[in-house]
Amino acid sequence: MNGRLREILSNKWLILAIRLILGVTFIWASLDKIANPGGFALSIYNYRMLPHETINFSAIVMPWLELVTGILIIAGIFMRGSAFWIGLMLLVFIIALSSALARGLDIDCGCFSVDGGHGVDTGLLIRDILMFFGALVVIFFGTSALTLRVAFWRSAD
Amino acid sequence: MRLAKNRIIRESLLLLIGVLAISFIFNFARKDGISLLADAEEFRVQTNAEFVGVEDVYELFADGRAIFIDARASEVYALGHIEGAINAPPGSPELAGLAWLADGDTYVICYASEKSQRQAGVAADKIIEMGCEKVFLIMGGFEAWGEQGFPVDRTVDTTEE
Repeated sequence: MNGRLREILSNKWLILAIRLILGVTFIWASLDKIANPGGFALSIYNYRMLPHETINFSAIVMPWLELVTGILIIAGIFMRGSAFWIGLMLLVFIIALSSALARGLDIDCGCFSVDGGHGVDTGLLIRDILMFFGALVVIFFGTSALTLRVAFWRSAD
Repeated sequence: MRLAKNRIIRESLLLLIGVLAISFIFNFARKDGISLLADAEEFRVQTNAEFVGVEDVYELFADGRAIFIDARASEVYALGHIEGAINAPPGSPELAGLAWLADGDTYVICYASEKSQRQAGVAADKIIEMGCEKVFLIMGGFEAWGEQGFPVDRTVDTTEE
């Protein structure tokens, strides 16, 4: 990879900005889903992609995965593991949104609110793709600079 | 660039185990927790409102005897909705603000898209809770209305290029 590009992507302030954007977005997205698991299960069902048997399991686990990874990626503890799960969730969202758009489903996206907040559109898809690349940057270029990991344990990557 | 694969795998697994534990404990401890396995029945439209055919609904519309509530997201509503319909998705302040419907004697027709009828059901139940008695859902949802060529309004112009 081009040395200049690598230098830019490894910049600790850029990494911190990406961590903050991803973290705040995922924490915010998790709150309403945790408060209303039944509603989130319905949002997942509306995408008509998962077998019924797996919908409630996803509705129970995914919001907590969003919350925990959101907090940890901001704190910089388990940063790459958190970025991995955030990237994986974003990939799932990208596939689900693309599929819903391709099938012309006019459903609520279930992104931040489970009660009719926002329909599916290409803007959401672009946002998720950008955040997915952000997660990849943290996985490949993230360092322990500006993290609580360093503040507490003083260990560098 | 040095990608610490083992470390990522270790962190990811530990995170997953922790999240599974937290989410299951929290779900089973709360009063409104959901069952781990759902069946298709759980996602059927369960509502106290009755479904009526689109032709009957149109008669009420033509006579001006019904108020229409669109329970879909505002972006979808903007692309096309039944003429004069109020946009009030479940959980929205607009739906909570419809208590005045209980004072009148008009029919209230709730609808969403055919594939998200449960959303219309939730909105209809809320309106029934407010004290309205004549609350109905459209069989086939908004698509059934559109297929008949009945009047549709847009709040955004989709013809512009």
